[in-house]
Amino acid sequence: MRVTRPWRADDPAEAFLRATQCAVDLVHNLARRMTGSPADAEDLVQETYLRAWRAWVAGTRPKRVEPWLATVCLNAGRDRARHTARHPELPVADPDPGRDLADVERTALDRVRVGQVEAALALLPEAQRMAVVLADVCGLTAREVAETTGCPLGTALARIHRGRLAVAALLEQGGGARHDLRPGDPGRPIPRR
Amino acid sequence: MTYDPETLAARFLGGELGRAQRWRFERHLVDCEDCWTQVQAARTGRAALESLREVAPAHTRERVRATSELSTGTPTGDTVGGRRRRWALVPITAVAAATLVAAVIGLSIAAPPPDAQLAQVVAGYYQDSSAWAPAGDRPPVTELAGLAWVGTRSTTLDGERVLGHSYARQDGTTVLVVSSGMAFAEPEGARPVPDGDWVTEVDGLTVFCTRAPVSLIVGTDPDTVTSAARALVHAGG
Repeated sequence: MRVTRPWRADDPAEAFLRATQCAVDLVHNLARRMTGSPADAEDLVQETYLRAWRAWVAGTRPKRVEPWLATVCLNAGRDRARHTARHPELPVADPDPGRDLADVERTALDRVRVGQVEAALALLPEAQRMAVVLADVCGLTAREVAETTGCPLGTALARIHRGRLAVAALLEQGGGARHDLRPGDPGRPIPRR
Repeated sequence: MTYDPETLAARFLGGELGRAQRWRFERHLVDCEDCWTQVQAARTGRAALESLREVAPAHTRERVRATSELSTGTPTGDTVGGRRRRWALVPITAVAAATLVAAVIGLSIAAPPPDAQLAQVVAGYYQDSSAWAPAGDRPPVTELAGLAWVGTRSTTLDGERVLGHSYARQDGTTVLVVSSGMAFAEPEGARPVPDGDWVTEVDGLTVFCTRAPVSLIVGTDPDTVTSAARALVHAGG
């Protein structure tokens, strides 16, 4: 077994990282949908973690880090948008240096489909767009979406549902590819007679 | 339940119906075209949106780690600004101190923790990191449990060059076999397995470590990963 650096339980930086690293993908996905490029998204991820780290040092210990970091990311993204006096750019399927290698095995069809979904997402009203991004791209529950966006649960449920319907309708109009249901879908209905 | 297809479908898909309500609604879906349409359309939209999910690139993870490690407990700096300015957030003194500490402590702490290794391996599977470069090396075996070799990339872990051989099946199932001359660090929570060293799950992937040959077999389907690992062990690497 190779020698590795031991974890230091009393190190606040280590404790912070151990508590929050599980949410890097969530923050990355949220940042990707709030900014116009992978580079801007990377900056927003770092800014989110820097703000979270400051709060951590100040004593904040959230019950669940995912909604907490999502909230921090949303606020940081809005501050950036205000600072630059413009809205966040619409997401586009521009090339990421880190993703070029993926082209080798990713089919052109997949890339077209992702581009269609991104275009449909960009057409949604802001509140709906953030709700479906938090729920379906970042994987938060409806309750966590409500907590993160500061709205009642019923409002979050409605925004998520209407956002999904709108994306489905836009893809249908645009000839978007059909998507299979995911396995183990909770509440999957019994087959129709 | 009040009959409102949109609200019912939203609560159903949001997991906000109790067990009895969900059961009744599932029965109701069989005969109600309006509710069925709502649920199906929302599922189509949800599946499409889920296709946008990405794994954070390895360099993003590295920047996240650097954010807290180099802030040394007293983070400072203006957080609103451009990309060029972002690195100015890290105080120069902190960078200098970190460099000095690293130089003094040297190789005893040079190896990254297991999680960092796994993050790089996961990035290799998702081909989400520029740290992995195409390589001309060929794997010892080009067929593993019905998976055919499709390409090889390489990266560096702990200063050691490792190879990542990608295998794929016609149904789209892919497996990455990361081979190294040195043993891989066992992450926390890993479980011992027959025919191997340990197995763990990370970022939706199953990671199976074998001792002979020293490899990590990575994939989304646990059964495929296990089959590929056993085939690799029995092939003798």
